[in-house]
Amino acid sequence: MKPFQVMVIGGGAVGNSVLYHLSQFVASIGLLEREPDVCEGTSKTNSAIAHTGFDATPGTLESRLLAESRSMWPEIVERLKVPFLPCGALMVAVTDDEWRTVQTEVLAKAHENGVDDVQLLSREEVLAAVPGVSSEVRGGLLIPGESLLDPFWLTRSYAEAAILNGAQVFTGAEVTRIEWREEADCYGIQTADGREFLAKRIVNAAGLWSDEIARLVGDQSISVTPRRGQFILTEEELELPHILLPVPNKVSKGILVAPIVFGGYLLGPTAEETTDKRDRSTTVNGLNSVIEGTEKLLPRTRGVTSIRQFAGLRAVSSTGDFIVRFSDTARDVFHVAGIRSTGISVSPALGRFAATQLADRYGWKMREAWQPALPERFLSDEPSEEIVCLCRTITRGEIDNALASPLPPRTVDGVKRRTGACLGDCQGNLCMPQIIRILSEHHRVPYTSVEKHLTGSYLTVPSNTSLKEGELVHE
Amino acid sequence: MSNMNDVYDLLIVGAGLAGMAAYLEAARALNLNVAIAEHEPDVGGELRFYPGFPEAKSLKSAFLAAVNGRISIGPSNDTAVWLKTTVVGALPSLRAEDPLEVNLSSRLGTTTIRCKTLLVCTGMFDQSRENHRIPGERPAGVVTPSFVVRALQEHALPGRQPVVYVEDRRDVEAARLLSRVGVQIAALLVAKPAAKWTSELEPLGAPIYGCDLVMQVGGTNRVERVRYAFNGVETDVACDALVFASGRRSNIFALKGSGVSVDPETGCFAVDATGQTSVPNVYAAGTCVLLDPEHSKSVWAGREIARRVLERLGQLQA
Repeated sequence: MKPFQVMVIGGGAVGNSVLYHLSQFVASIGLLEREPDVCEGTSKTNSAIAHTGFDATPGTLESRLLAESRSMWPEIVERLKVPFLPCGALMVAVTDDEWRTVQTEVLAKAHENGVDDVQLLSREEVLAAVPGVSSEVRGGLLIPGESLLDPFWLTRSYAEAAILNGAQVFTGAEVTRIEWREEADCYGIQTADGREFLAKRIVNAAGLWSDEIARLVGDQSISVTPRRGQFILTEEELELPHILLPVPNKVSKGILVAPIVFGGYLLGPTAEETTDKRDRSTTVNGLNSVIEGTEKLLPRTRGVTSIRQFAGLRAVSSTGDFIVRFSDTARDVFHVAGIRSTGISVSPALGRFAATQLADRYGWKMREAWQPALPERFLSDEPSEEIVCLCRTITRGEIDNALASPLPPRTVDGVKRRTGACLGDCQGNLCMPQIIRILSEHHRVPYTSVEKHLTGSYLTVPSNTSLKEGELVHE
Repeated sequence: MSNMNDVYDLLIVGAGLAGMAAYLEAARALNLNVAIAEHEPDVGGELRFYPGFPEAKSLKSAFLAAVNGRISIGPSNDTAVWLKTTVVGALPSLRAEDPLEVNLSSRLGTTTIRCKTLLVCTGMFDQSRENHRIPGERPAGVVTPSFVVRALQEHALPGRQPVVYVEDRRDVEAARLLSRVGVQIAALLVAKPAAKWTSELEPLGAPIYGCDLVMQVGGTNRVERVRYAFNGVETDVACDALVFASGRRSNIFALKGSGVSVDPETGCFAVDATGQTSVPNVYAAGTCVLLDPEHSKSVWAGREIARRVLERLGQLQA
């Protein structure tokens, strides 16, 4: 088996963008994703905003990549058909101190970061722009370039386009061991399910686990800690024309209210130091602090109903900035680590930057045959209009179309991210059993082996009794 | 998109208790063109699976006898019962005397039918863990009783040692069903209003605990434990699934976008004394109007509203 030219480890927005941009240079590339689907890490638990970087720390790699991504979005959106809405953000100052900060530091930083289309708004202008905004408002700053997007679509479509250009994506592939094979002049990468992959070079884009992947190649220089953010999702109509931002503090961008590009609103996130990289639980205190934060900007969020709450973990590197460089100790390993808070937003430029670094070092040229764009849709042969998800009116055909893509879903959450099924009022309790059946039949796996999201998240266990109208039929 | 040429006198949406009862009433009138569209692959509603709702099964038998084989998958001019057929919208007519246009989705595609009257009997669905903001992790294995019933039809269970939260009659039935299937229920968490059913739960042989609040779900991939509170004391129960539903919402999706009024308090269709909604010739009956976990009025409501509709259509048989 010929080794891959590059193996990317980590199927989030960053890893997939690297794969996409690498596919412009070389065809024999692969990606290993631990979970049964891409986009199972921080890429699925964020505020779904493409930030302009107006508030980034000037002089950092993060701020530079945010600036580059800003100009790349129109092309990425067009090529990958990403749902994207440049609705702008409105930073609202609710105290005199905050208003002073906006007019001085925030404004100055925006200009320093090259975001020059920001506009100061008076108290009256903010009151007119946002119905129901806090009566404490002193003024605001409009950042027109802040945009909403579908992070699931973005993450997945990078990978789909890469696959159409020859890349291979392996899911359910947790990397457990990496060894340099002298005789093959390449790395041997072993996964938990007993497979081995050969690759001449490795890109470490493993998010929260990029320090652990680094250690597998003997590189101790990276340390990543999680910082949890809890979110509340509501379907109530909040009538927001823009993303609403608080004046930021030292730790995070703060708790915001954002429309979601495919409907509803996100409130959050918190910013909590945690130690467990697997702990994405929500807490009473966390959810309460989300509301305490949002009601300062929009008082009516106090009584908001919610159909879903979730938590994500930012990957915070010990250096405070992104770690994007070749390893100093392991040969031919390129780290893309510590991408904290703005992973979605920098993914276009970061993927291109990483791919270019590798292309420069290894002397690769751009392939003429590279097809950067996805087709309009992937279509199954006979899409049926039978409704599977009642509360969202999602048809069997839409699910089958998702299964016809180069990276079909294997899990219920994979179907959810691609079609919107299970995201409505019933949260999947009416349609999930049927979606499990569809996945079981399509992938020819037992019904009870179908997972919800992570490896081992089986939705059901076998019963040797079935049910017909209250009558039990024993097998 | 295809059109069916007949103008139906009455289209009933949903073949549960209220819908079947309405159909049986309407079938007493001769020369009426009546059809019933059901989203699921079979009629009878979810209740037909629960041991404690025998009326669902007996009503289904009477219904099938009246239908006499005129059943199809997808809408058809030749049948009265259309399975796996979902009403996805209704357009009110410009004048009250004109028929409504109703859109149906099925494996045949989108079909538009015209009907003089529409009677919505779509029932209700459970409020799940997410609706109640129960904190904790989001493992697989947190389900509502509806999921349990559907999974059992697929030879599958939500888990082998579930915790079952019991608040009303239907939760008692779900627990009884799981027990009959041989599941070892880890604990029955019984809310105060359900205390009257303790005697029915005791024979299931599972530990019964009073429960004021389900507080937290634990487990990363699958459920591992549930924390609950009772009289100020919090306790963790080890388990591999949580069957939880608290409260219900009306299933109003069929009339999304039709402009029909919904009661802001209950989220149910707002109807007048004759069962008519805010849209002329669109009626609603059953638990989509009144969220009753006992379903005690569903049969009566289906029959009664159908009678009103027949009166309006000038076809009431003595």
